Amino acid sequence: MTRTGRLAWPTAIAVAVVVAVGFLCGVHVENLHNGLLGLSFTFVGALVVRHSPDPDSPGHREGRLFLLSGVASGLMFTCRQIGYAPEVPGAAWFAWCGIWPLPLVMVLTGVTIMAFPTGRLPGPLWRRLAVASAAVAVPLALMSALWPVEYGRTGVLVDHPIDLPGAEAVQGFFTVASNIAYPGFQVLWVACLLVRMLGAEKPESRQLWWFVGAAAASVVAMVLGIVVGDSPIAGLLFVSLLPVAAGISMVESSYERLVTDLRTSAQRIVTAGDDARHRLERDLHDGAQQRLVTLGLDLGSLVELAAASGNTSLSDAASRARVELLEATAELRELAQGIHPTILTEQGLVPAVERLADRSPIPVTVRARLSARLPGELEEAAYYVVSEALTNAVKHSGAGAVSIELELVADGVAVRVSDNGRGGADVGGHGLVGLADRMLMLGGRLVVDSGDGGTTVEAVLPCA
Amino acid sequence: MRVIVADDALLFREGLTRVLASIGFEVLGVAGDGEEAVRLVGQDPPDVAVLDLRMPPGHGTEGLEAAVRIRERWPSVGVLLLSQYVEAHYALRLMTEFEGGVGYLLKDRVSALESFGQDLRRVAAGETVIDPELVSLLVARRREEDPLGALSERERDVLSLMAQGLSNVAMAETLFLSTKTIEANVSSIFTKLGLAPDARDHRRVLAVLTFLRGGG
Repeated sequence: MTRTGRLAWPTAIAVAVVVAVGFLCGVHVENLHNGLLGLSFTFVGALVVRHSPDPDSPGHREGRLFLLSGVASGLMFTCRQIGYAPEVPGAAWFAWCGIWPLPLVMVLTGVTIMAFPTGRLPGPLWRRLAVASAAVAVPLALMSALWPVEYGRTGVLVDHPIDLPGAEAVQGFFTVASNIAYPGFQVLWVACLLVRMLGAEKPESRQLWWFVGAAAASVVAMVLGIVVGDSPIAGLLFVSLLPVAAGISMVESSYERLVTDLRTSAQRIVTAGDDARHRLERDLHDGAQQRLVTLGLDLGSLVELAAASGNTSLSDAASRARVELLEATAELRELAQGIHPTILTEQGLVPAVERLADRSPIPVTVRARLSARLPGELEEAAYYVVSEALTNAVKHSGAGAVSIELELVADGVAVRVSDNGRGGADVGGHGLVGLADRMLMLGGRLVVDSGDGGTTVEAVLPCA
Repeated sequence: MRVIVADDALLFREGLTRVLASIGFEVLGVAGDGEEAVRLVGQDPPDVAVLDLRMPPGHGTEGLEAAVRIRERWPSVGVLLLSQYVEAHYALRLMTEFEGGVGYLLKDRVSALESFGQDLRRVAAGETVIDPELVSLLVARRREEDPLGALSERERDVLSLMAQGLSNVAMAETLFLSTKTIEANVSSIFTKLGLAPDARDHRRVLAVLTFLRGGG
């Protein structure tokens, strides 16, 4: 596990402790959102980092940024909280630590949001803009560190610990500059998010929707709060939900990636197996079967020659050998078609299923409502569902009849094999489990219903 | 009787050519794929073209496609398809695409030289030949309410031969019965199975195959 991975939860817990300590100084509406942002960013960051252990994965990178933003907000919160308790020794310096970094933390949080969900800024333009906002934030933070220019907004009860001349002049400049810069930072990350969402591919855009939804909710709460209650608190509290929404979508998307990976590997397994079977059938057809058929031809000639020469014992022996050979080729034929029925690739699902019905020892009715050929892997999967279900019905059900239905449904093709046997099929057994890879690969589902009235195996295979 | 042979397996093709020559056929030429077979037929149309079903380039149903092209341009040429597998699906397709003069046999059948020779002659004469293995599979196919259960043993035998493409006269010879008895059996089969009787052998085979396949 990476260092970030190991430190993720301890960091989150440390931030929680620090924030809890901050709350000992009471609840102060002007500072509340910092505490909540600290908690939500670190906890979601820790969760995401532990959920995406690969340090190069997007989740891990973004989780790291979350942790960083959370730690900064949490520390700032508690330092500022102490500023509301002037009796604490060093309260002025604590408050100072909780106030001057504000522009820097805003930029850090902005970059964290701009990097969502990949942990990287979407392009060189955005990197330049991030650098530019940092270049604006540094002098603002410096001013705030030297003069009490930010103190008016925070409501802390202590004074700025440094007393330099020129405070009024700096305050005038700072107010104008920060009134431009702070909303500017906000506009920047909102713009970045929108641009990213408009250009995003499907899985990423779904993640962004979560995030944008939460951002929009916080804006609505902010406006409503100001209009109705004359307070930005509701909006600020909603902002701390932003990391939670982001975390949900990152965890969800990492599950989606997992499912995609599993599906890809199932596809590899299934395709490799199918290829091997096709090859084997082809090799038998062009090799052993061809040779045996040719041998049969030679034995046939031998029978004729022996008969013509009047040697009946020789012609009898040759005849017996020929009959024996024909039985062997018949067995080989069944074997080869069991490995892979040529008619499935050549003519499609319905002829192949009817072929199974022709050969079934119990009566089979086939009702097929498919007019066109389906994609190869779909036909193959549907065929093996029918083949397995039919084999089970013959071996275990004691059924007197089987019915097979194939039809197109809204989201793909439905395959239904029902028998009128004794039911009670072991859903986990009977080779149907062997179809799990095919189902996973196609995102299909297989339902086995085995009651008193018989067993029904139903598969729905989606067309990609 | 003149034939051409198309098969991509060299040894089998040569063996078949030799055997056909030994039982009195004149092999006009051999081909390794469907294209070449069509060209050969065009040069000098034979009585029958013997075609492997699965040939290059696709190893699918090239033989069948060549057969269709041959018959479109030279309707008098019989086509006999050989395959390592016989499928009802292909049999029905052949029966619907061609009006007699067609055969579909397992490759194994060539080892019984004499009957293979007879099958070839029947195809050349415009009759229909369907592999007995396929027919017995279909006759044995289990049905929920088996209409074949109403048939007598003798009628089942007649039905099998009928599905293989034999005419009433040929069936009479095979079963050592009089043509009249066969005719009585045939009409009884048609009545019991609810099939429309048809004088022409090819349509009769098609009806029986379709019925056996479960297509009613």
